[in-house]
Amino acid sequence: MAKSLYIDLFEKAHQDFVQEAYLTILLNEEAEVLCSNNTLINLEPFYGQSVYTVFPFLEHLLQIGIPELSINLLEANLNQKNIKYRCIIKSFEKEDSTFFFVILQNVEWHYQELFRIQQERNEAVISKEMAILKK
Amino acid sequence: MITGKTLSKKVILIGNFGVGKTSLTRQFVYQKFSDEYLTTLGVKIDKKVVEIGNDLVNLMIWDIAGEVSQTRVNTSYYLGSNGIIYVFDVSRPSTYEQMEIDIEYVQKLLPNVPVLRVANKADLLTEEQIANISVSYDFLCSAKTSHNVEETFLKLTQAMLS
Repeated sequence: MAKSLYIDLFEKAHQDFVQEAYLTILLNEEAEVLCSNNTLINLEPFYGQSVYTVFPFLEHLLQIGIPELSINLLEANLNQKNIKYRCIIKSFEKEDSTFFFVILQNVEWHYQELFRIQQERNEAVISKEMAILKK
Repeated sequence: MITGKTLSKKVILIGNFGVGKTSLTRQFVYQKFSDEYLTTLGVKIDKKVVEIGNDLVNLMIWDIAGEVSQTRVNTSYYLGSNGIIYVFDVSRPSTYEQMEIDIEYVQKLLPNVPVLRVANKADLLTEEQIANISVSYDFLCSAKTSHNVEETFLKLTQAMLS
């Protein structure tokens, strides 16, 4: 297979499996949207507006004031649709201004697998506990 | 008419798994209840606006996945919290035996943040059985019947504002 074809395949796979799964957003200190890769949701209509209008849960995360924060599994509504994310926030300084770089990864596939395992574990523990209490 | 401020507060619901944290949130936000138990993974976030006097308060409700001990919860979920609801199941003593240890641990991470102790699933026990519960609590609730659900969140909101 020609090398150029590998590169095409790689770029297509990257587009489908990586780029499309990650929403990245650059915010200023006031949490206004400056720029985004606009996957998951098109944020262009929100440029210059507060990111909290789209992702209200970010408010209490941006205010913490630590350089890097990760929430590994977060479930919240986006346009009335329930979405499971991994959320990473990095803050940095540039020319005396603070900026935030937010990465929201869609982790639906990971969630479904984990959910099944956790549900079985929890149900088993609760059933065992209830059986002991009934004795 | 609202003439006051609009504030935003983060509330976390913590406690053992299967105690009804998600059901309490669902009842409060959507006035819905289901008997089906669906475990929460990570954190589920909902929003509800409440009116306190002349002010509007955006409550961001973080329903955190239940664990046997709060020390097993990722501390990043607690960051920036303004109020805590500790939920236990009145029918399962294992869910309240560790309550004070758990609350002490969380309060070290979140000093001066108000905490409410909520005894949930009151509909499963008789009054006599409830009277025999060995721990004290602020509200006896039922997410199923909605008993005291609204009152719990409003009380916490008032405590967060004062």
